[in-house]
Amino acid sequence: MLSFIVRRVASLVPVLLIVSLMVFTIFRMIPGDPVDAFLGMEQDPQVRSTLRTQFGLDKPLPVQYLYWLNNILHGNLGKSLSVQKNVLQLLSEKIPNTIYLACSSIFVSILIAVPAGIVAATRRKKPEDYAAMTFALLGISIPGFWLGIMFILIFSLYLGWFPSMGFVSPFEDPLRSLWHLALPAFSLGWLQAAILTRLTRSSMLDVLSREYVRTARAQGHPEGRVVFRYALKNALIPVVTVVGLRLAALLGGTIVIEQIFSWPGVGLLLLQGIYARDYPLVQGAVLIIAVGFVLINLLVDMAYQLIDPRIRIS
Amino acid sequence: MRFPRKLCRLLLAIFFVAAFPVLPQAQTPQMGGKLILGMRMDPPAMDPHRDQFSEQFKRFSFLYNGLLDYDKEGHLVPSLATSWKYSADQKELTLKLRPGVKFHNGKELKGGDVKYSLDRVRDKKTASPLIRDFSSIQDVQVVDDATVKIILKEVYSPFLSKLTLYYCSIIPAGTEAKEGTPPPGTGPFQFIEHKMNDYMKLKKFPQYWEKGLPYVDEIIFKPIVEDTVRYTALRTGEIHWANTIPFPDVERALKNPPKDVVVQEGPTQSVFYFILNSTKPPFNNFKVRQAIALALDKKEIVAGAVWGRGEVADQAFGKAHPYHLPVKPQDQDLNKARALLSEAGFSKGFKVTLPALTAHSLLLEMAKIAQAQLKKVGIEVELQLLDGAAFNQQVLVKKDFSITTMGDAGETRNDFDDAYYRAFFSTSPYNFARYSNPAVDGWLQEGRRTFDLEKRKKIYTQVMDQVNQDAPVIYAIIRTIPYAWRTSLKGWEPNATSALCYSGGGFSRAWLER
Repeated sequence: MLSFIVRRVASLVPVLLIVSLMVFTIFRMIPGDPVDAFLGMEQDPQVRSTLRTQFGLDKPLPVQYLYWLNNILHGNLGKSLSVQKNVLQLLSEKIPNTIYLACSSIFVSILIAVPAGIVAATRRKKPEDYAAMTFALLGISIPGFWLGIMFILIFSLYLGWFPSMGFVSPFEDPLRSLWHLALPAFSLGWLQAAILTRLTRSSMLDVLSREYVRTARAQGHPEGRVVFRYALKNALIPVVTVVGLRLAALLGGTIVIEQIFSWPGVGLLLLQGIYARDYPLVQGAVLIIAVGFVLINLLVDMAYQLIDPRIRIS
Repeated sequence: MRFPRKLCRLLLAIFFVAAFPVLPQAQTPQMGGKLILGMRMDPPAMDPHRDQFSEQFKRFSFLYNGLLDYDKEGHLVPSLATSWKYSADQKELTLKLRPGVKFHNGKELKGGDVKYSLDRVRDKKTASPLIRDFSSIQDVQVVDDATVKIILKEVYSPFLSKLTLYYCSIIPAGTEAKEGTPPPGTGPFQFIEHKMNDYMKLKKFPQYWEKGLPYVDEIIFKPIVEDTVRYTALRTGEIHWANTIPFPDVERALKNPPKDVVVQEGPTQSVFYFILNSTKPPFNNFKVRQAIALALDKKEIVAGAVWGRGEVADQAFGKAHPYHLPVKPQDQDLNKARALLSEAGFSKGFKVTLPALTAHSLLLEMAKIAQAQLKKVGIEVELQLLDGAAFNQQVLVKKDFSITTMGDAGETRNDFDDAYYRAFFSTSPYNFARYSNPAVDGWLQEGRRTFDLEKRKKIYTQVMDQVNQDAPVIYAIIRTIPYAWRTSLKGWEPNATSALCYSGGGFSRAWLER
């Protein structure tokens, strides 16, 4: 187990090198540079050349890359060109907020999707199944921004149950924090739940048709035991894989929901970085997200063993 | 005969009620409270001499003062300088500084701070995008602690406008912006902290030079990108003031404002226009440019792009502004446009690409409406959607475009010269249309040497009549801003330059009723 973890963590090195080279190259291929973005309408030639030197854009691209790489090896992701703050400091402010929102929304989606998927599978072609599938279809079809705004209008403006926007740190005031988290977490969780409900249902249907389930039923085990003890565990393997992938994807930013609910996460920062062509900020953020992606997948692989002891990771 | 006493009293009461029916109770401002302002975005970095986006300017007006300022109507008035005087040759400007002004770091304002600020904004290393606006300065001299002399290279009548907050906020000598923290200023509020995309917090500066001001203790700028969400947050009472509400809601909100909310349109200097590259065929032919100007229906553009919340523009300043000019009107005339196109050899029309900025929905809407309107005279417009940096590189730097839509909020466009010399003088780097007309160049230079406002108005009216005829730029919209605020917020009203704190008004005089 330990050697598995060490190997997976070590695999980060080539992954990050490739990611760093890709993000560096691709981002510079987009038309427009930080100086174009920074100066807006005031494109004074004299100021342009000063800024190019200050931003280090006057050096050849390979030199810029190696300089950046050297800084990373020294634990320095550089200074954001647009925000004028240390990139690591900025990301360390925003990434926890995104993790908080992403994990909460995944939690909400599991709370909705797993029971709904089980009910839909065990009550196949019954009204409960149709209701769950209609919910899933609606969830997949409704755009996130529309759902977010509808939640705000209904639960904030008309019912006054939740605030319409903003973020409060859970360390500052846990209850108020949850109150502010509710709408964004449910908006995002609803969309994830739609996908997971369909997946849980189909996975459960597959497992419920297996011979060992038929045997368990033939032995006279109660249906609840058959479903929850024998079928559900096996059915959850693909669900856990998708949950892991969704969570990793959400870490890359939940831009739409962050924007609607004024949630100061990494997605919004990354978007602003892209608009500002803030090379150090975007490159740093993508690297950190890549690390997160690899680590979450490692956790998912470890979770398999907990669910099904037959799976050995080595 | 004696009137009964009761009748006398009744008549007296009726007289007073009739004579003074709606005398409002004078409201005494209440001190204290936390004022939360819903903003459209959260600008990064805060160096008043280097950062120049509209949302940054809005915050600077809380923190800083210029030597001069604009009042509610947009007239130049004293601020940190109480008086000024030009020398006989009009090349030396001597300014007297306001006594007893303190910076947020406790230091007293002296001539050296003014010199430092003006030198810093002119220094190439600062990389101020406005450096060119100070190229007329030869030297800044400190006469004594309370007097500063600015020596100009040549006579330059718009110079006073460059001494306002948006061009050169006054900061203490030796200070810099560090890690996103702005340098100290002399404004009514001082900076506390900024959490990017979360909030910016300011607190009342107790030693502010306008005694008794400001009234509120704390200001929170809350960035809420979506107009609908910002308006909802206002209606639920989560914020006290919203910088614009959604255009589709304005009409209804003005007639029937939501409970506990005031909605009011404020004037702005935000102008939106088309730029035609006069060096690129077919727009190098002035008849084609003129045809475009005649083919556009500006009333429809205002109605469509800003839901009618603004006025049709034929110049850079709106009707309420002191610099509005009586230029010759020009209405849509499709037949004349078609005739001009035929004369230019384009009787069957032509195809053209319009780079449009996707980040600004108003500019994109303008482009779409123009696309439909120009089709009527046979011009096929293809939209090329670009984000800010790509647009700036292609259009503003490389000038690789034929026609485009552009606009600006106008904080640094307070004089005729800012608006027209920059845009139309043949060698100006901001002449994106690459327009060149020796007569216009001559008038623009004359405008720089003329101080009398009425004479200047005549000069710039000539400029604009000629420009409107040559059509390198076709002004289309001057928009208003639909502000909304809670009824508990008192004493705030918009000004002509859309500044949030200004001389005699704004948030330094706003207070919360509790």
